[in-house]
Amino acid sequence: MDKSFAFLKTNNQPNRILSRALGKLLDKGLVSAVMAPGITNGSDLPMPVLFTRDEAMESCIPLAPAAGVSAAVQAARIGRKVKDKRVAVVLKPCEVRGVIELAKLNQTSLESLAIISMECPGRMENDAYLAKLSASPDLPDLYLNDSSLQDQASSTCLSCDAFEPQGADITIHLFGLPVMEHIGISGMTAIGNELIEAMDLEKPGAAYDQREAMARLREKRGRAKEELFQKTGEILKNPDQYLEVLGNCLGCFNCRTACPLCYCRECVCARESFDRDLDDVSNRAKKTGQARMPAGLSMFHMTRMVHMSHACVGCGQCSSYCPSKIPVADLFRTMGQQVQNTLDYSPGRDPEEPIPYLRFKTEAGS
Amino acid sequence: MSKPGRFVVAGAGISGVRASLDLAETGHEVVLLDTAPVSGGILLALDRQFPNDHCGMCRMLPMLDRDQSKYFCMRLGMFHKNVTFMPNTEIKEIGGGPGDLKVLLQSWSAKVDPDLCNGCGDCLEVCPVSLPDDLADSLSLRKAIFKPGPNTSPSTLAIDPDSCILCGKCKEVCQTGAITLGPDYEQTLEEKVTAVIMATGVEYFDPGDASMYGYGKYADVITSLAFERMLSSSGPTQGRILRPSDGAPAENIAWIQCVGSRNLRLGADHCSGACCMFALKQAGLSMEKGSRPTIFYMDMRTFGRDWQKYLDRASSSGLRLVRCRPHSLEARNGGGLMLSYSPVPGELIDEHFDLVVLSVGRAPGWKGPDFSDQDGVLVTGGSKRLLDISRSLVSASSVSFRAAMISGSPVQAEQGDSITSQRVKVKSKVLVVGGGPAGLSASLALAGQGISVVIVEKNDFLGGNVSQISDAEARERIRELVRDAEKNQDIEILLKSRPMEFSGTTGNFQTHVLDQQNKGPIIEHGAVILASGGSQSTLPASLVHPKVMTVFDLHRRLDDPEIKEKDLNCLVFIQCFETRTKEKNYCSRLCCPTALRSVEKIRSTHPESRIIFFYRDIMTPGDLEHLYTRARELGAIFIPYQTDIPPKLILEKEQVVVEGFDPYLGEEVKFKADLVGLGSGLGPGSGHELAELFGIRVDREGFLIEADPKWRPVDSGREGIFICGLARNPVSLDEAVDEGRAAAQRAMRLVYNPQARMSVSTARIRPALCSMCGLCWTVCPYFARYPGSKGAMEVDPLACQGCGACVAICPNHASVLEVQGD
Amino acid sequence: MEQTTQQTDLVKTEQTDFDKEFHPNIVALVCNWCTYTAADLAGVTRLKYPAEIRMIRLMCTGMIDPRFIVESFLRGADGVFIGGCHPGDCHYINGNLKARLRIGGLKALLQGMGIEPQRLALHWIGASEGTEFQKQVKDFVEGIRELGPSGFGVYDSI
Repeated sequence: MDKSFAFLKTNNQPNRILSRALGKLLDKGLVSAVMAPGITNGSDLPMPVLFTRDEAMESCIPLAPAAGVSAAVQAARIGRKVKDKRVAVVLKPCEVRGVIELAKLNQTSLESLAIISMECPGRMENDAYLAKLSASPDLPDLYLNDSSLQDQASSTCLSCDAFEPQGADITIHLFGLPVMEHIGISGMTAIGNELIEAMDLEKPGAAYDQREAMARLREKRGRAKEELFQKTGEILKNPDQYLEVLGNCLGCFNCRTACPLCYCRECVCARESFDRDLDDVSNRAKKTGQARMPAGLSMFHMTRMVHMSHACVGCGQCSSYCPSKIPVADLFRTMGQQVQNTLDYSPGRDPEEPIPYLRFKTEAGS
Repeated sequence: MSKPGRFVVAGAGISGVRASLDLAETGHEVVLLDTAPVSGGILLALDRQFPNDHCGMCRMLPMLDRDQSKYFCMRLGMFHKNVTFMPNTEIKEIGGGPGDLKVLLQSWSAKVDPDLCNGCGDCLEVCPVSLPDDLADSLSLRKAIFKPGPNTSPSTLAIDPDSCILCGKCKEVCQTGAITLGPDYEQTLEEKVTAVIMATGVEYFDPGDASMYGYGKYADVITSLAFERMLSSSGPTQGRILRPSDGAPAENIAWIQCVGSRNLRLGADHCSGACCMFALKQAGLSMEKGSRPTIFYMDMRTFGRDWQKYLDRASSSGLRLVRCRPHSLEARNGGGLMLSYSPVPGELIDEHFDLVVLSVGRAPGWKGPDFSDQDGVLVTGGSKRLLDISRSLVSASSVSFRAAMISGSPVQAEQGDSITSQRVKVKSKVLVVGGGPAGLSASLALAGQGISVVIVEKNDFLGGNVSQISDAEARERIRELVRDAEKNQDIEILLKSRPMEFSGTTGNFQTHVLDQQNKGPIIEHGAVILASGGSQSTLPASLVHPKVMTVFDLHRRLDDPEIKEKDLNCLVFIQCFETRTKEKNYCSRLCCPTALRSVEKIRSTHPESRIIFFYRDIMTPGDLEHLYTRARELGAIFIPYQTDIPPKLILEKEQVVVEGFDPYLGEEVKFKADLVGLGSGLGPGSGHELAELFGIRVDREGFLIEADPKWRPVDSGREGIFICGLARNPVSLDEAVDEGRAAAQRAMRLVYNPQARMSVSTARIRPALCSMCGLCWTVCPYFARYPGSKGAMEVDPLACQGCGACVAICPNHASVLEVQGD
Repeated sequence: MEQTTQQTDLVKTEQTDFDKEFHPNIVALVCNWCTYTAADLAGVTRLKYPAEIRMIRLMCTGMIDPRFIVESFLRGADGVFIGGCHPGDCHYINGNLKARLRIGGLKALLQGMGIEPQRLALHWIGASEGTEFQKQVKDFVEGIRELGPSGFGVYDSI
């Protein structure tokens, strides 16, 4: 499909130019704030930054190939609090899905958010990004145009075929475009179109055929995903492999902290009844002569899967956070897909789609 | 403060159980007795019941103060702290007057000690006496010592004194010494009670008595009650549908309706009122098991609100309906039966069926002594007519309220009882929306128990549709209700008003009532009864013609001197006019009786006029059947029609012509009508608005929907909100009054005690852990959850039933089930 | 004393076949209203069903936290059998339908972790279906016997 979209001339600086275009939204008062990846004093790691003044947008890196945290949680925070104002939030597609899922859980409202998302080339792990950045300060721009750099993305992103945003008001088109000359921008909703109007973009010119680039990427990542799920599926099913991989778990709960979907104020697994008491551990020890402490970590991971695997948006933050380098996201996504397929549910697909466990109302006999 | 009353309820079927629970829930003491060794009545034999093919009998159990009763499947029996169940007991004598009756009860020994019998069943094997099982209605045999109900608990066996030959074999094998065969002992007991409720039920017609359809001669002809057991997995065939003659699977099954009812030859000029639905249910369930059902019927009487839709569902899933009464059947070689019937004159069909089910009607009949004329003795509707479950329960609740009124003001609950459940303060005031018969009857009932009532009525008068009602006697009854309400000190009446804002929790609601100037009070009340009524449907503009009117208007107009004196050569009634189909897919109940009543009136002034009825199914359940019989005697002509070819009305300036097809003549017919009455039905009023305001369910047609169509007919599903009358379903005046009183009974139980008791096990929120995700709100089936002001969900303690759905869905265990004082 | 030992040995020899047979650990979670009543009915009508099941009565299947099931498997259950009311019969209106969805999701999850789907069963068994209860429990236990021990308990070692 030929997409006709407006162009933004990038002059070899897509991030800077896009920042300025976003700044216009602030300048013209169309949004009261913009939340987008950016850097603040003292750190080069892109984090969600709340911009309220046009001129501050110079430190914004909207297409940053790294994300210190999932911006979904921060966007949700804004959506929950802000009423009668509009805030533009720049999110990766997985983060958009996260915000939509959080909205279903009443943790945010989409009303006041104008969601801007992009065809996502993926993000690098934080340490890899910082290491690369010190040698190549233009990394955020170069990354967009260099597939060998993109191949250094996190393993989650390399196996993610949900790189096109769903549910955004504005989509930024990158794939198949000469991004150092211009990028494409299109409004997906009435609000999106209204905002684009204010960005003073070029009139649609020659349409780019993105199909080939998209298909290539989808094929590549799709294949990687299948391989990963295959491999991870085996790990989950095979006790030896499972214990080898998860045996390194420290029980630090970082994965839970990183997860944009884990919305509980305080994780149930960190409390009372989930604590394996010593009797339990010693009983186990009596049988085999030894028992690992802390215990109950399978229970922890499985509980998190029970609670959230249907909603896993595949952002990969849990893996990034893991001090033991356990591929938590691989495990979670693999399981997530199986559960989602069974329940015919796709997280973030549609804000109106009820959480699968609440579908009992429409079932026969109720 | 008054003392609790004490009541005897005779008959432990569902009516008796309902009446007992009602009284028990409002603090009274009840002696519930039955001649059978177990409670449950006919329901013990019915696994699934129309109009939804589900069970759910347990939903009758108290929702409030649940700890007073045992929370088990009611097939195991009924247990409430305030109810003493006496099996094998009957009333011998009743003396004294209302409020102070002396009742002589007589119990006989079951010969099996329930404390010792462990239900092992060794005795069943040695007992030499075999006789047909009552429950399975001849389909299987039982012994003289038997298990009285499939599920009954404790699993005690009983000895039937009539068939036991006292051989003593059972006693020999009994390992626990539970059996005493000694001389029959009978125990008499005198109870001093406030009132007696007779809930003795009805007897079913025995087709053997009239040797109808070869019943008794052919094994493959069985009654509908026997078929019910065949459907049950606890029945003689473990739920398989088999030909009793040879045990082969029964594929083709015929139901024959109206066996023992609607039969003038048998002197049965009444309709049993529930057999059509019963047969539809059985046919539907048989289809699930792979059978091909056919129902032979006279009129398909689907007169309840959802029943037409139930019929439509069955038809669309393959049920065959044949309108005719088969005239004979005989056995066929190789099993099964050959049924002969004649669907249209001149055509005789012989068809093979594996099984023929006779839909037996009730036979008149309680065989015990009749005390119903005695003061202080009240009889439930289910003992007078064959009612469906929902109407039986409504009637039982209505009667139990009348009984409670004999005892005077309500019981004040005892203080400082041993149960440690927490209490919730409730407002002893009830808001009644609607001042029609249902609302007035509810209000008067509550006020009679000292509970203050506020009636909110949109019109500037009380009485609802009183002016539209065609029957003068009924009009007078409603006017009397209005007069009683107006002079009652405990009833406040707000005319030209409507409820606008509603909030609060069960027992502590606030409703802002506004008048036409948008001013009005905020009323604090413990419960609300929605009796917003409805009205007859108005005819579309295309049918406005001086000679065309609704059957209700026509009936009233017949009293006009102008009409009386006019020449009326021909009157045509078109029943089910644009109802029981499409947008209004329900029966309005009143059109048929009203139109049939008109026949007699017309005849009194115009003995020669032609009276034509176009009809689909004449709906005259119960004794209303007399009206139909009488109309035929008076020469009215009945022409059935199908929905796809309804009779046509041709309106001209001076005259109206009705064209239709007469299947008996097999030709088109045409009538020049002097008056046309359309059975265009009744409809609910402001159902959708009220449903939205009070957060309850409403159906497509605007009727408020009850929590359960059978077991909780006047509960809305949201505790503290009750629904009754035409707002809920088309009803007669009597039924509206009964429903009003039943709703009052339900409200009463909530507000009679200013300190309502929460049940021991309810959900609680741990606010510090609650993220307000609202999952618990969505899963709560009782609307017992709401977002609180302090950033956490909150629980409505009187509405919560402790089902634990919120606990299972809350990922954070912020919602927990808490057991008090344990 | 000696005699006793001999007797024990004798009994042992006789029971070898029985011992060889695998006796699975099975947790049965049944709802108070329907399936428990059916189990009770099966009991009083002397329908025999396998002794391996450990029945836990709950008020409603809708209150089953999937955690109960996960924990059962982690702690060595070979199968979990759940019995609730037929759709529409639930005392709590639709708790059984909620359970159905939860169990559906959980089944996929457990399957992903190598637990055969047959090890977790959800059946609707009405109050009068004593024979159905017997049949389902029998079939379930037989199925588990064929599958053999679950071995999932080893996952609990971390």
